[in-house]
Amino acid sequence: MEPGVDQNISRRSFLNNLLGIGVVGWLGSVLFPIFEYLKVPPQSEAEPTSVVAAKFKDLKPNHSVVFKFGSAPAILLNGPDGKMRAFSGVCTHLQCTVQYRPDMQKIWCACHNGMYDLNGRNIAGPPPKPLQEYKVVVKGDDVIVSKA
Amino acid sequence: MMAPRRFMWMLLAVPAWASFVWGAPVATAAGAEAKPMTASAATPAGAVAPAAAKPAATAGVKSPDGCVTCHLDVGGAQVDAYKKDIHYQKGVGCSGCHGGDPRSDDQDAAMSKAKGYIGVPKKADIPAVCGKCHGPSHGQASGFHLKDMRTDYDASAHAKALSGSDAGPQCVSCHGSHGIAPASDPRSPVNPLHVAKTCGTCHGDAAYMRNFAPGLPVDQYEKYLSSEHGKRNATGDANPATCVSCHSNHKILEVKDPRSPVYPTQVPATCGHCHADSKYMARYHIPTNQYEEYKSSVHGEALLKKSDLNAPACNSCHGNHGAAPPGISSVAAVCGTCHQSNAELFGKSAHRPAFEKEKLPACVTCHSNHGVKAPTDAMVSMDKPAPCAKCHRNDGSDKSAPTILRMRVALDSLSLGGILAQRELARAESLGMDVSDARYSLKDVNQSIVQSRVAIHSFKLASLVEAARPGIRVTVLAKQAGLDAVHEYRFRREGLAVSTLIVTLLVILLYLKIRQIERSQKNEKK
Ligand code: FES
Repeated sequence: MEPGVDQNISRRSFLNNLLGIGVVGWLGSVLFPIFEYLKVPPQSEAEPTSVVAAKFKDLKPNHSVVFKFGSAPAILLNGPDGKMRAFSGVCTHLQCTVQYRPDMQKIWCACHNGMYDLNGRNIAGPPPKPLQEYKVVVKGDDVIVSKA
Repeated sequence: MMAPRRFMWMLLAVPAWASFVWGAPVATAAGAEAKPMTASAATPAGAVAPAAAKPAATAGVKSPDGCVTCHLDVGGAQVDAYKKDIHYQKGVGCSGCHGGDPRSDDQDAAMSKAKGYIGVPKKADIPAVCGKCHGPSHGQASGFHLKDMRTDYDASAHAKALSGSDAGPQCVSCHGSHGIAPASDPRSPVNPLHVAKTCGTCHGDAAYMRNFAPGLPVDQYEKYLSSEHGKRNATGDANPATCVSCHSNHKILEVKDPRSPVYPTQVPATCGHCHADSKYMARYHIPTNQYEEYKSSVHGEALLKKSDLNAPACNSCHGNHGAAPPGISSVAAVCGTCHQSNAELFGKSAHRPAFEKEKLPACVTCHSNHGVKAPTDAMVSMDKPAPCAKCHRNDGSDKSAPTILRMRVALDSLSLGGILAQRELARAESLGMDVSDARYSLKDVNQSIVQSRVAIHSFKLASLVEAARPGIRVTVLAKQAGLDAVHEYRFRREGLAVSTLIVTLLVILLYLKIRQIERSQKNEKK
């Protein structure tokens, strides 16, 4: 074989390869936005009516956890008596997020020192109404809180 | 034990007492006029119609009345008392209450059941006995026109107590029996100068009250004596409120009864009954606009419009039985019963000694009292009428002025940041993007705003900034999340448009190329 022919072929295949890569790149740049468009955007879930709020074994008595329930915070507490209770975490005064105070054994709102008892009843400070109570069901290791 | 006969005498007096007791406006020793609050709060006290005096003049019971003739002869304390009784003076004889036939000469016949003689009425029956005239019939059969107090009494908590026990309060418990005088008469136990003591006889007796309302306090009379009302009353001034001014007289309802004039939502109007009456209050030289101011205040709106029973009424700050204005030094403590954190911070702040020195009441100086409005960030300003500007100057001489302005900047960054973040998130949502996590995080902005508004009571810039910072950070992040979501949306749409354009161009080019090839092939064949 002549060396000139050999050189010609390798140059052509090199050019073809280069062209191929270009075509692939071009195709990619065309298809990527299409795929991106077709990809389902993250959807906000509809207001859930129940949610797994915690693992049973993680929530010791006299402890609590604040979790996201739909678009608002909620609080699940394991009372000093070992009873699970869940309430809306939104203070009924000016909508701050409440927390559980193990030292006082009360639900407490830091904003104006509002207090609720373990049944969510407003007992001190400015909160005008009790916290809305949710239902708690323990299924296996899951503590499920539901609105109904 | 009281002999039946004596008691019979006592009860003789009962039927007509009430019309006189609550009858005409209460003339006091000083000739003043009390302002009674009736159960309906609108009706003036039961006035005796002019006709009341018609049937018998004030000369006592006219003959022939065998009961009176005979018993006057027999005499005794009750007879003496009854001679001064308003009923006797209006011509009501023994039989008015005890029944029987006063025209009969025969004692046995006169005091026979057949003639309606009832002897000493049972306690439970007393309201019915008095109610013969002071009830729905208005005593018209006897030629009087009296106010119906029986119906009011029957609806009262006292009637409920009587229905459960003979020891419960009835007419005689407050008005006495033989020797009843109108309330305007200083001898009457229900005269404005004596009524508090009369009520206190039972309501201050723990052992007695245990039978009916074991949970009810028994210190009302003690407290009343320490109140502004009680102190003035003790000087012989019959105008200030007594028990009946607020609780009404015959139709006394439990506090938890929404119809009661002392049910929380009714309290402001009840106090306003006197305190908003400029003519009535003129003699005390105190303002009468409290009720008007209160109605439009943040407290008034919560209580009266939203029926939030936790919102304070007059008595929450002034006390009820011991009502008095809180002194300058106790204002923060009184407001602090609900607004604890604010009061605590204020107590430790530099403002406290400064206010004390200037004799300025704590909370009220900035927030006012009866008309207190929901506070806004605009209160933190050096421009009048902002409260800071009342004392601080903005002419360069006051070191605090720049701090106040910086505090305002912190507050504004927070609320403005919150508004901008909300707007960005709303835009993203309207494009169908999910920003629920960012939205959820905004709850911390609200919390930060609320806590900053509390922290401001420390009057320290650092504390305020500390409370505001987490919120400001969240507003920045949430706003960015909104912007990112909008950007993502744009990228998708614009990218698709570009791709579609390129693909279309390609298709057109391909089409043209194919036609060109076909044309050149045709030419070659030719
Ligand atoms: S917001 Fe909770 S007490 Fe004020």
